[in-house]
Parts: sequence; C-alpha cells; structure tokens
Amino acid sequence: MNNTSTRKILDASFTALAYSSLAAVAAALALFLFPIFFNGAGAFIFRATVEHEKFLHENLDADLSESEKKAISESDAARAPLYKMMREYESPPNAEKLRDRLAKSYKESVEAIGGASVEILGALDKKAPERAESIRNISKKLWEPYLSTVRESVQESAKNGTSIALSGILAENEAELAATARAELALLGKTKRLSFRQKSLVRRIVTELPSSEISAALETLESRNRAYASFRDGIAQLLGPRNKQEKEAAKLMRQKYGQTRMDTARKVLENSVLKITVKERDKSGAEFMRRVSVSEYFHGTPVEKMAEYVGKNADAMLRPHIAAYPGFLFDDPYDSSIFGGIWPMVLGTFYLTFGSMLMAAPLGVAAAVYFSEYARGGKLTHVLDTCVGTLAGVPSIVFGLFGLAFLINTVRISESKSVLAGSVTLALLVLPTIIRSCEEALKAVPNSYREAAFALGAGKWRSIRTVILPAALPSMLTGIIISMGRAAGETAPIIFTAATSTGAALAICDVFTQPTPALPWNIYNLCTEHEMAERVSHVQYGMVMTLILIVLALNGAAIWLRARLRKKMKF
Amino acid sequence: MEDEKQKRYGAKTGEDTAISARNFSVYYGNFHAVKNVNMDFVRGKVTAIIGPSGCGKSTFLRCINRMNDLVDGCRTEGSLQLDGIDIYHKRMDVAELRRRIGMVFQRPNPFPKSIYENVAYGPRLKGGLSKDELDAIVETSLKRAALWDEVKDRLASSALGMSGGQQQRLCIARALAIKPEVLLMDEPCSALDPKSTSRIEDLMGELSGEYTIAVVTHNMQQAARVSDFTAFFYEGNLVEYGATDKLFTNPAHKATNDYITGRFG
Ligand SMILES: Nc1ncnc2c1ncn2[C@@H]1O[C@H](COP(=O)(O)OP(=O)(O)O)[C@@H](O)[C@H]1O
Ligand SMILES: [Mg+2]
Repeated sequence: MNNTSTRKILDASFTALAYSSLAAVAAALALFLFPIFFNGAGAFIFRATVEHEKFLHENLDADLSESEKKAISESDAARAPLYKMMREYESPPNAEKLRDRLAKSYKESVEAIGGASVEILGALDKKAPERAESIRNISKKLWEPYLSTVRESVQESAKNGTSIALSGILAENEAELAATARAELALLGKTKRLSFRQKSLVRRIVTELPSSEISAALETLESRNRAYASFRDGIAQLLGPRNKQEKEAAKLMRQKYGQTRMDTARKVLENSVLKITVKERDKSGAEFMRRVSVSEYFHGTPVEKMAEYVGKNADAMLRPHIAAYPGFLFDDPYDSSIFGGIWPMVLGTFYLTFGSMLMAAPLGVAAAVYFSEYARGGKLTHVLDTCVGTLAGVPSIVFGLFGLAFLINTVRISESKSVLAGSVTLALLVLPTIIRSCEEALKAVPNSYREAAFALGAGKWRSIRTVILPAALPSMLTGIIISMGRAAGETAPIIFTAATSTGAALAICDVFTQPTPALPWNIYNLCTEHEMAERVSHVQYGMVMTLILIVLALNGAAIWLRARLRKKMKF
Repeated sequence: MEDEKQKRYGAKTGEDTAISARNFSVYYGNFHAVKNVNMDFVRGKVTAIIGPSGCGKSTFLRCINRMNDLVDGCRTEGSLQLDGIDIYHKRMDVAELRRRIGMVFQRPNPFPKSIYENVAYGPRLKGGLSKDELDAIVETSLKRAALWDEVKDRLASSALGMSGGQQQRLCIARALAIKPEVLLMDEPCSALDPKSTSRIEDLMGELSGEYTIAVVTHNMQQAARVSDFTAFFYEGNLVEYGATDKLFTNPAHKATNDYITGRFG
C-alpha cells in the first residue's frame, strides 16, 4: 500500500521534472531566439523615414509613388523653417552693422594711441612700481571704447546669433594688433631712440590688455560656435544635407541622406541633436567634455528655438511610416552596410557551404564506406580511425590557420584568400562529422540486405552501390545536411582563408580566386569593428536572423528528407 | 556396394545427385560446428534438414552457397560438390555459384525497393536484358512464387509494405528470378503465421521437380509434409538420412526417434 503510493509520487515527480526541464529548454530557446527574430525582422519591416525612399529612389532605381513624393515635399516644407533659422543664425543680417561698429571703435582706439604718445614716453621714464600702474592706466584709457563695444557685442551675439560673424571680426582685429604696435613703435622711434626694453614696454602698452580681453571673448564665442557646429552636425545626421550644394559636396553616402530608419533617427535626435557634448575648461584651465542639453546651453538664443522646433517637428520632417524592405536580403550593402542589404554575405555563405559540401560529401561517404564495409580491423584502419576522431576534436581556428599556412601559403591554391581556400578548409572541418554520421548510417543498414544481395550473386561493390548505399541514404543525407549547417555558421575557419568584410556579390566564376563576404564573419565584423556599430544594429540582427534561418532551414530539410525517405523505405 | 551407398548417403540407386558432401566439416575458429557429414541431395527433390537448434543445420546449408565466406573465422574441411564441381575450389566463381544456388532466409528480407526492383535485382546483376525480357522474368518469377495475382497491380510500390508471408514469397520469387538449380531455404516459415506457412509449403511442393530444394526446419510436421528426404542433425553430426516416410515412421536411431517424438529439441 505504502509502496504503491511512494511509487506514484515518484512517478509524478519524474514526470513533472521531465516536463519542467522541457519547458526550461523551450523557454531558454525562446529567450534566445525571440530577440534575434524580433530585431532581425526589423531589418525587413521597420518604421522608415522619407530618407529611406530617397535612398532607394536615387540608388536602387526604386520608383517614387505619388504619396511618397508628397511626403517628401511635405517633409521639405516642415524642414524649411528650421533651415531658415539656421541660415539666419549662421550669417545674421546685422553682421555688417556689427562689423562697422567694431571697426569704427577699433579705429578710434588706434587713433587714440597716436595722441597718447607723450603719455607713453612719460610712462617709460617712471620708476618701476609707478610705471606699471601708469602703463595699465594708459592702456585702459586707450582701449576702453573698443573693449566695451566688444563686451557688449559678445553679450548681444548670444541673443541675435552673431557669434560666428563676431568671432571672425575679433580674430581679424586681434591679428591687426601686432601691426598696430609695430606702427606705434615706428612712430615713437622717430621722436626718440628707444632701447630694446623700452620697445617691449611700448608693445605691452599697446597690445597686452586688448589682446587678453579679445582672446577671452573669442574663447567664449568659439566654444559657443563649436557647440552650435555639433548641433548642426546632429541635424545633418538626422535630416541629411540642407541643399543641393551640400549634397554634392558630401563624400560619403551617409552624408547624403538623413536617417532612413526611425529607430536610429530617435537615437540621433536624443544623442546628437537635443543633447550635445561640449568642451569646457575648469578653473585650473584643464579641458573637459560635458554632455549638455541644447536648450539649456543655448538658453534664450535662436538655437534654443531650433532645438525646440526639431523636438516638436521631428515626425513632420522625417515622416515615419511602416516600410517593408525585402531588398535587405537581395541588395548590396552601401557605405559600410549603413544602407542597403546583405546579399553578398548571403551569397558568400552559400558558396562556401555548397563548395565545402561538394568536396566533403563524396569524400566523407567514400571514407565511411571504406571504414564500415571494407576495412576489417587492420592496423592502418585503426590509425585512420583515430585520426578521424582526433580531427573532429580540433578547434576550428586551427583549421583556419592550417588553411592559411598550408592551402594558401604553401600549396598556393589561390593568390590570397578565396572561396576555394575557404571551402576546402570548411570541408576538412566537417569531414570527420560526415564520415562518422555516414558510418553510423551504413552500420544501421540491416545485415540481411547484404546477405540477400550476396545470395543473388552480387559482388561487394555492387551490393554496396545498389542496396546498401540507397538504404543508408536518408540517414547519410541527414548527417550531411546537418554538417552543412555547421559549415554555414563557422567563422574561425574562414577568417584567414576566405572572408572579407566588404565587397560586392561574387560571380560564380570568381570563386577560385576571390574572397567573399560571408554572414558569420560579417556579423562579427559589424558588431566589433564597425565605426558606427550602433547605427547598423538592425543589419547585425538581420544577418544573425538570416544565418539562423539558413541553418534552421537546413536542419528542417534534413528532418523532412529523413521522414520522407524513411516512409518510402522503412527498415 | 549400392546398398552401402544408399545406407550412408541416402541416395537411391539410379537417382541423380545434385549436391554431395563428403567428410564435410565446418569450424568457427576452434569450434567444430558440422562434423564429417556425408550426404547427397537428390536432384529435383525436397530435402528437409531437421534437428535441435544449434546442431549446425544453418551452418551446413549456408556452406552450400558459400554464404559462410562472410563469417570471419569460418573454415571448412572435406568436399562439397555441385554437379561434381568442387564448391570450395579456390578458382570457384562465387557469384556464379550463388546464381546457381538460390537462397531464402529465415526472416523475409526484401530490399527497400519496389516489388518489381526486388525481383529484377538478380537478373539485372547479370545484365544484358531488355526491358521486355526483364518484365517477362519478373512476371514468371512472381507467378512461380504464387504472388503475381496479389501484386501485379502494384509492382512499383515498396516491397516493405507487404505482409510477412507475401514478403517471404517475394524473396522466393527474387531467388527464382536468377533461374537457380538449387534452392536453399533456412526455416523459411519460422517468422510467418500458419496461413502464410501453408502457402509456402504448397509452393515448395510445386517447385520440387524443377528445383532441388534443401529446407531447414524445426517443424517436424512441415518436414513430413513437404519433403521427400529428411536428414536429422544432432550436435553437428548427420545422425540419420533417408526417405522422409521411412525416417518418420521407422527411424533407425534412437536419437532420431527421441527427437521426432518430441522428447527433446
Ligand atoms: N558466426 C558464428 N560464429 C561462431 N559460432 C557460430 C556462428 N554461427 C553459428 N555458430 C555456432 O555454430 C553452431 C551451429 O549453429 P547453427 O548452424 O546456426 O545452428 P542451427 O541453425 O542448427 O540452429 C551453434 O553452436 C552456434 O552457436
Ligand atoms: Mg538456424
């Protein structure tokens, strides 16, 4: 009685354990696969911006529908106010007036120097402490009108957007100061011969004060200009070039278009437009970088309005919409995969996989037939068998190095990396697995088939060819296809032998001499070595999903084929 | 002298010997599985080989078409002849020998191919046959094996879809397709139900006359029903060999008597 109930409890708990571990495996798989498929699907179907259509239209001959044309012109209209604000800020209408005002007060101050020559010479004769004082006074008196104009202008420029113009003028004036000093010295030299020390004193009187103030002003202006420039770059990243000239001047494709995808557009908007990094100095004068919000940094200036406008009208300027882009699979990549698709990588993976199978499958089957049908426990067989087992355990990177050192550098199978070299390397990698699985398949063929064939007068080879191989075929194919999945996904063996990070889809006739991009390697490359890895995350996921789908499809095909052939000839 | 021969080898005067074994022994390594057998198989007759399991019936039968060549460590001594030709001659063409001596195994073992392909397998090996000739061979073989009417409409379907009895008859048809002189059957009915068994037994009756049949069986009634001669093996020895009627009604040896009356086995 007690015994049965214990058994029942044990039974139930084992069942529960089995189910929960199954569930755990399924959950782990889902946890692993779901984000990949979710994000990977995002490479094909996503929220696009008008820039996506512009890119497709201009580079891939896609026609623009009426509604797309309309969206583009509407987005242009939404951008126009922003561009106008920017234009005005960059070349303000009152810049000329400012220039005149500064030039005038500069000239007045310079002229004042001429009138102060007597004072200057007097100061030169004074005793040291008084001399310093009077130098400061003279300088102040000389430059006060100009410097106060500068101070006013700097303050005002923040509000009216003349920072850029102003910094130009100030820089010019500062450069002129040296000339002013030289002229003054020459003038004084006519009235009195000056010693070297006196000359340098005069130079101090004329240049020291304005120079230090102007450079302080310049620094303020320039740091503001830099901040604006980074804001402007952010806008350019988000929306693309502002006009034809800018577009034509752009060297890289990424500079010709704004963000084509809404997800990256949001990132750019958050990280490079509404927030920027500015360089600042602390009290000790050391520079440091600081993240600031544009509207705070440019509080009360036109730039604040621009940021506000962009924040509010981002959607109107970019026109987000759901777009299906099947071309992701069939298009070439453009500008380091920032645009376009992954076809060369997919094709390269196919070349490498089928190339390796072309070599590994016949060899593997032949070896398996030898091992399971002919070899009868000889010493050589034992050695070969051990070799196969060892080969199966060699790390794949070693195969890659072997491919480089032996196939490319020693045998010179190709000038450098090539699909051929990669395929041979991959073939060597999967060969042991294929041999083993084919051996198993052959061993599973009932002996009675062999007996029947022999009893009918078939020779060894004949019976293998006509009865044993066909009977083992389903299992052998399964093994081969699963190895194919392995070959498709291997990275290490092709790094040194076949893979390049960029390149166009390879024509079939080039496989003997040319390297190719391939999914596994390019996934790695895109994730680790891409200068804008953040911006191509959809490509990374799209590639991973495609690769997983290829491998899953191969495994599915294996299962299907096995089931089909099994049904046709069960044993 | 004639009497002596009849007594020793079971062959009656004037009867035609198809296969004859003289001092024939088989070893598996050191194990002496068949011991100094002297026996003549009469042409066109059914010879049953009976005996308790492990007594060497299969071993002896499989030596006749040299299937034991496939077993590691198996060797023979003495002589075994087919129509006066030494089966174990070192220049014997084994494939040709096997074409002359067909075999049906204990468990039906059709190939995982279509019914047609199964029967055509043997003739195809020899080659040189047109499609029509091949069709004709398949048809006559299946008719001989009393299977034609059941399968003529589904020759292209898999042989593995047939019942066990049908599969065994297909194996017989497959063996007949190469036009052998001798047919070896190793417990052909042991895996079959009674109905299929009786069909195969009928078939043996029909085939005798045309073929020399050697059938191993552990079923005494079957041996009595189908065979003209019966050989009783015990622990590797041929204990008694003679006309089936005589052996079953009046066995000369005590062991034979014990066995056929079911005292052991
Ligand atoms: N391949 C083999 N290797 C070693 N011994 C074998 C082999 N086949 C059969 N034997 C032995 O030979 C003896 C006769 O076997 P077998 O001819 O199969 O007997 P039967 O068919 O009369 O039952 C048995 O003792 C068996 O164990
Ligand atoms: Mg047996």
